[in-house]
Amino acid sequence: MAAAAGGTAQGRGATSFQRKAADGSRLATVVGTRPSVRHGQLLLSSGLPSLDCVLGGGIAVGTLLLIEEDKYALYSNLLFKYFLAEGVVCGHDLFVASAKEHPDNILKELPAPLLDEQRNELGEEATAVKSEDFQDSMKIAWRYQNLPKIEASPTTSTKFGHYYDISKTMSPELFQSIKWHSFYLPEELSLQPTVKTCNMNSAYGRLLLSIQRVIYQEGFDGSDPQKKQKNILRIGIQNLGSLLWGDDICCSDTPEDIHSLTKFLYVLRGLLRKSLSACIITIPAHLIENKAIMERVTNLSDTVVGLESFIGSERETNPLYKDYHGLVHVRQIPRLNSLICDVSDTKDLAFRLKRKLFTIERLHLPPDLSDTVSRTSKQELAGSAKLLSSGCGAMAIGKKHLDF
Amino acid sequence: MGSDVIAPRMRAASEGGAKMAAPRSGLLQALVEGGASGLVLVRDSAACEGRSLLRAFATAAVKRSEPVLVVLLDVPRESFEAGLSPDVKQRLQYQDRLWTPPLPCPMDVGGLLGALGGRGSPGPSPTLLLDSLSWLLLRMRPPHVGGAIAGLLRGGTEGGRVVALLHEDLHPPSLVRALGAMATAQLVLGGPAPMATPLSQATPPRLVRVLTRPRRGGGTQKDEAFTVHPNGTLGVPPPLLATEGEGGGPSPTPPSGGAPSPITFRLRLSGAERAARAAVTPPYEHRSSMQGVPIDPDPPEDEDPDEDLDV
Amino acid sequence: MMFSSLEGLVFLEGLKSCLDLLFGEQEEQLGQPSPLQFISTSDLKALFDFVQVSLTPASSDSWKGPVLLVDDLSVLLSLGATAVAVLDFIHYCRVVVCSQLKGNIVVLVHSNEDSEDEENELVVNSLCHHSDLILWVEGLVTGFCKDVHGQVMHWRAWRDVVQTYQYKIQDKNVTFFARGLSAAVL
Repeated sequence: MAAAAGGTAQGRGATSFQRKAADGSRLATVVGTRPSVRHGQLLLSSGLPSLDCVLGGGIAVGTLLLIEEDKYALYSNLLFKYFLAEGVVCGHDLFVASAKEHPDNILKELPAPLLDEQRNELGEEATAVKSEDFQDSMKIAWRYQNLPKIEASPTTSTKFGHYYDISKTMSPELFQSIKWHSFYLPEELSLQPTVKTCNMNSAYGRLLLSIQRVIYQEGFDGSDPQKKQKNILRIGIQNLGSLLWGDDICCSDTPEDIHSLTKFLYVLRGLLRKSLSACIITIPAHLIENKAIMERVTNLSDTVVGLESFIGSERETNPLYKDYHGLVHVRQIPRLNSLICDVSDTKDLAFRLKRKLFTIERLHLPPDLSDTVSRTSKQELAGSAKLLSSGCGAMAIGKKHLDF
Repeated sequence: MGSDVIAPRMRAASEGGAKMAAPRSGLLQALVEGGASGLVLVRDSAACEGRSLLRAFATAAVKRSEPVLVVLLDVPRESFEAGLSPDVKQRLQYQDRLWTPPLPCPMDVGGLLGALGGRGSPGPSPTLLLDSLSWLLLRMRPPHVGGAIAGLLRGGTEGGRVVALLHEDLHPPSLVRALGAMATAQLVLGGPAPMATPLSQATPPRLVRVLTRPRRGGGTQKDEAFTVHPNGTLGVPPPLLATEGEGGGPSPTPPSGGAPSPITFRLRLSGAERAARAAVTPPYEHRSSMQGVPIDPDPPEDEDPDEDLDV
Repeated sequence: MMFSSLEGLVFLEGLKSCLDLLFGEQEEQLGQPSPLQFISTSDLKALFDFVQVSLTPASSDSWKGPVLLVDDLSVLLSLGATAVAVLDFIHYCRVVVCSQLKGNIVVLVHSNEDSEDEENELVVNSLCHHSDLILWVEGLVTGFCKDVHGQVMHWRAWRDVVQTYQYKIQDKNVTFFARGLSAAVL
């Protein structure tokens, strides 16, 4: 065949039809990920299937998920652990950073994944989780799509999204095949007293250097062409911005250095974009008095989710919220390779925690079933309905007249 | 900044927050056409710009054959000249060191102020237009700026004036008030002026609150309508609506008059239409054919109608 | 330099360049400081020099009217620059790009109705005063709507005429329409 098209295929009996060895097809086989139907990016599960639904399928590789902690950091720590546990189950590498708890202890307390025989027990509860806005949801058999399809040996699980039992900790055998790195600030400070940090808080600077070193040495940035099997690095940073990180934004309205945290987030996102990684950060937003900082932090992150728990607030005893443990505020969802993102129509989300299931769902007001219905409770309902309707994201809550 | 709040940009600030009353013309025109002396502060905001008033001052001064110096800090010469007639343009003197390359790096603000002082134009009643005072206030301490302005006023010949543009949404209200105390007149820009007949001209009239503080004491406050034509001359439109219709006072929204809207209906009523609507008697008040049958409305229910739902 | 240049399009990718600045071995390349060195020094001069060098045509080029697109200016404040430094940077760019090279500058800034970021509001308001054209994009005051994602207000420098359009975003496209005339309504 003299006129073989495609010079590169000479010597192979070339035809003009050549399959491109696309990077996409290789990446799609990275364990624990799946491509998004919307924008083709690889998605990871956050460890919480209902959160994945809310975020439009999962967390995109290369992005940053910021969790605004609830008041006692109870539920945000749970989300943090779910993220890491999902990494263990999928076989991803982990990087855990904390200034408070030693990462070894954090990893010892990861929840155990639910195995096959417990799946049916879970079935009834899982069917209650609706996900109308989930892109590739099953149309007819939607009730079944959330059932976890866990293999008998969780380490070779190929399914996306798992459930965990928080009353049990993960068994150490699951850790054997994965690689994990830790950054515990008190230890780092004692190892290397001074380090050049580019006009940034030194704790953040060290953390950045440490992350960059792991990404580079383990080849997550594609710098090692020898590495055949690609893997994901899941980075978890706990309680960033708190006093223990050497930052005073949580205790002062006019902090000494308001730029360190934002510089850190900017450089971190650069590192994430350049590598096969994803990061979860929990931040005590309720302690940061200077609201300008949280506005900037939100703009510099990709996905931002705020948790508000009812513990200790008047809502704990309010019968309207009796089915739930707190509210979920989705502050921001990124638009990747597309002008639009999969934002849910439901702006009012609440969460509920049971031993084996953490669900995030649309906030329903309970039906009015009491015998003694009085006008006052009707007004409470009306008041909450107004609260709900004004929970929309980016709009100007000012004039109420119609806009056209 | 402490507890001072920068005035929100979408609301044109008005002194005392009172709604503007039915305006009369005259005071603004008198000021523009030579009546101003000392410091005239033109206070604008992002939604209601004041540069066109500076052009009106320039045009009027040139017509009176008086020297005019324009100090350009905010915008380059092309932007300022858009809106002036050619014969006015060539008679203006410019101090636009900061827009002429090569630029000093870093910005030499102190040197600029010094150069200004030396260039006070001789000649009758000079006018110095400063675009803008906010630029200086963002880079120098207010007392220095205040002192420099006072020096300019002293240095000029008798009857001269400094017309300074101040973007009041960039500064705390206390600073704006302090500068106002130095001024003999303040022109606070507002939104579109309500008109008796809807106009479709290219330059719809706008509102300005004129505050004067003559040397002899006292002070006046008047709301007036004005327009600045494309050639830079000041226009005073016919008298406005007597009643405070909708849109009276500094508009909280950006001006939207002028171009016809592409939609085919409007939700707003004019004053006359509203009066006409109020004058119509509702049908339930008409005497119907069922005269003699007293129809009393039901007493108000104090039971909850849903109470009978038994679940 | 960490920019890519392709047939008249010069990209400075801040996220990538900052990594070279912080983690790269060489401190300076060819004696030129990185455009992002303001992360350490809070001085935007190097960034301006980069803009000037990139947009000034070499004698063989026949480009006309360069355009500088900045996405987005609010990030500079997060990285340590002061509001006045950002305004000065735009001022210098304007002298070179608009007055000297007869080009245009398009700048994106973020803002909220009830923002407490005073520095950012100062930058946004100042830019409104200096700009010849403002495109103001916001959500609807009445709340989230599936068919109308928001509206764009289009102001000229003289603020005489404000045109408002509503829009709906699709995957790769945005459709604009007059207020009240979205496809869902008609």
